[in-house]
Amino acid sequence: MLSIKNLHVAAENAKILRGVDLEVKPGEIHAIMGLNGSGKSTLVKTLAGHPHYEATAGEVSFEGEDLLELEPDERAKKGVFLAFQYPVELPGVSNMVFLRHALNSIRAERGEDELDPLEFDDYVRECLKVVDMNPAFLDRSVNVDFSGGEKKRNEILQMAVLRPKLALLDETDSGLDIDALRTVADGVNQLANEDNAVVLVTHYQRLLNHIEPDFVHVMVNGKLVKSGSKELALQLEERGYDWILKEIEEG
Amino acid sequence: MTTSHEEKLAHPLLQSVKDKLAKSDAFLALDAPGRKDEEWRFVRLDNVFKANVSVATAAADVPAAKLAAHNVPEAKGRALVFVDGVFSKELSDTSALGDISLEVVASDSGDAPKAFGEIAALQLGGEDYFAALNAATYAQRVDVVVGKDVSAGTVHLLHVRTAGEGRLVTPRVFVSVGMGSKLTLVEEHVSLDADTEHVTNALVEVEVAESATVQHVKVQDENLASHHIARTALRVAEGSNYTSVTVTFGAAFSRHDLHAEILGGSSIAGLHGLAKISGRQVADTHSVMNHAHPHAESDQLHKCVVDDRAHAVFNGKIFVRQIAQQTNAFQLNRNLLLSDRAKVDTKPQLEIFADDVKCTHGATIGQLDEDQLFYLQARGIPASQAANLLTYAFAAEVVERVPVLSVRKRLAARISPDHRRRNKEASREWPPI
Repeated sequence: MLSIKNLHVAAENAKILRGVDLEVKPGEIHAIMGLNGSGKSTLVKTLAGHPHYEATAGEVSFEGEDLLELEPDERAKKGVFLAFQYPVELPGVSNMVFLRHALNSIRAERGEDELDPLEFDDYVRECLKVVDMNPAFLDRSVNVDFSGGEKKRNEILQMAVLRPKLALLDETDSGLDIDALRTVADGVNQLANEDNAVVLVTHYQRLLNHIEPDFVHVMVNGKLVKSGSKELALQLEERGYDWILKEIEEG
Repeated sequence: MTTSHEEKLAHPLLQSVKDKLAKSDAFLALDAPGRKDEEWRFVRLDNVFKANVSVATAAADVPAAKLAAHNVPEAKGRALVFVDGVFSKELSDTSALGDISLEVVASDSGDAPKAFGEIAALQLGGEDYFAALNAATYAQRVDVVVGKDVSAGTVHLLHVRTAGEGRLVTPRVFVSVGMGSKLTLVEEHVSLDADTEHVTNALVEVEVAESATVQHVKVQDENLASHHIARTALRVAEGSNYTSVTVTFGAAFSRHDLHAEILGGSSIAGLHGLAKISGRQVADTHSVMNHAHPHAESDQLHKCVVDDRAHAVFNGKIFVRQIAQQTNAFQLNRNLLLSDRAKVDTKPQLEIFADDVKCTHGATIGQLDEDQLFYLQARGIPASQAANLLTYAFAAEVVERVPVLSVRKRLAARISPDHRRRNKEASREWPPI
């Protein structure tokens, strides 16, 4: 589904990613862990097409297509979804209108009919259940006056509405209390299936107690330096990152 | 250096009203404003003074069907239509006035309502040239008088400008809403063609009595050859509520002065505005909120969406007199620049002489937010649509405050991204507000 080869990325002339390789197949959940500034957020933002990041070398193919050639909205229409680390507030744009507009853009791409407001209303109410969200949030401006946890929940609601093939979750656990973390993780688990894939970026192991990854990768200094099973995440939690750095130094 | 009367009257703008002006000492005492004047320093009036306009003496024939788009169902039976400044009995509908007195009166007919002319004269900082021009030259005025404890509904004053000869249009309106009553006023200025250069010089006075409520909607959607200069002057009494929403789309040059005198406590005055301009349009808004009594509130949200090489000006003065303790005054001017050559001048001015007040003001000038654009794109919405949606949302915050549903819907459609395409299928997507 997703194949990243030797990806180098720079932002404002600073090199951030220095040769990332990653293969993601349908049905898989990958976790990317690493210290602050290691480049894990840059990777998922680059995949979503954030204009601040420029791929200077390497290839990314998504279902056989050159992902880096596509505009951000085209990527979304092909099924790439980024759950933002810092969801953006859109004053004056109601959550309902935003979600319907987004879904209809994507449905048009898939050759499906647009949903009218009534059809969409039925559809979105089912999606709300995935993240246990109050319908009142639909009438509010997108993310405006939402708490940190509500914003993250709203990201997963969007994932539920848009049903992406590849979901990139950028620090979706940060700022969540334990209850909210469970709700959000539970939502992701409900949405994950054999046909889609999840790449989640996180600092801490705690999210992985709830969303069980098939693979854990460690990013250091813009490269994925070590991959393993979910046991690797537990090791990182216990021992920190120093031992990995040491391993690298020793070659 | 003094200017002779002949020189003062030499502008093409004034030719057709020269005789009236020659008799007006009040007008002749004033010099034409220019960039040297603080109140006019951001704009040029050359084209206004050069405009070749005359005064219409009879209402030109306009088929009623041509005005259908401007119909306000809420004001059925309470709608006056003026064609190039002249009242048209045929196009107007006064079949359901109820307890309102709605009269068109010739300027020389003597009896004016109490307080007429007084409210406009209250402005600070000297005489107003255009108000004096209006006073000296208007031919007909409208008196909207509502007595005590009347729920007066909505009144629509529609000013249309026709194709053909360029006209000097001088609307003069006096509104008086009695104690405990409520009135909604829709004041609309439109052109029926795209090219005829008209000049409008309007003066609207509003008196809001104790515990009365006035909602005033002004829509200025004249053609891009025209010039529109207007003053709204109001006086609010104890416990009353005056809220206006002024929406500016049209005219090459427009200037709107709003002046609110707050003379009673527990009152609320709200002056909100949206200017959405492009090309080489100039939209200049000056407001004065004069808190001259304790315990009153004022609220202003003025937004400008400026595209191409257009230029928006906002000058918002708030005075809080020493007596006006416990004043709560809020003012915000937000500007959205859609092009590199668009220009905004904004100048909030607060002068506070009381010590126990809450006053906030602010001004922002910015472009579309990159993070917001990316967020929408990341959800499958193409960049151009994302920009349109954000622009719509920015402008809609003001349009949402329009209290008349049919007008609000019309304005929402006017600011929607599909306005230019007039694509009904697509506009279904945009939120009705």
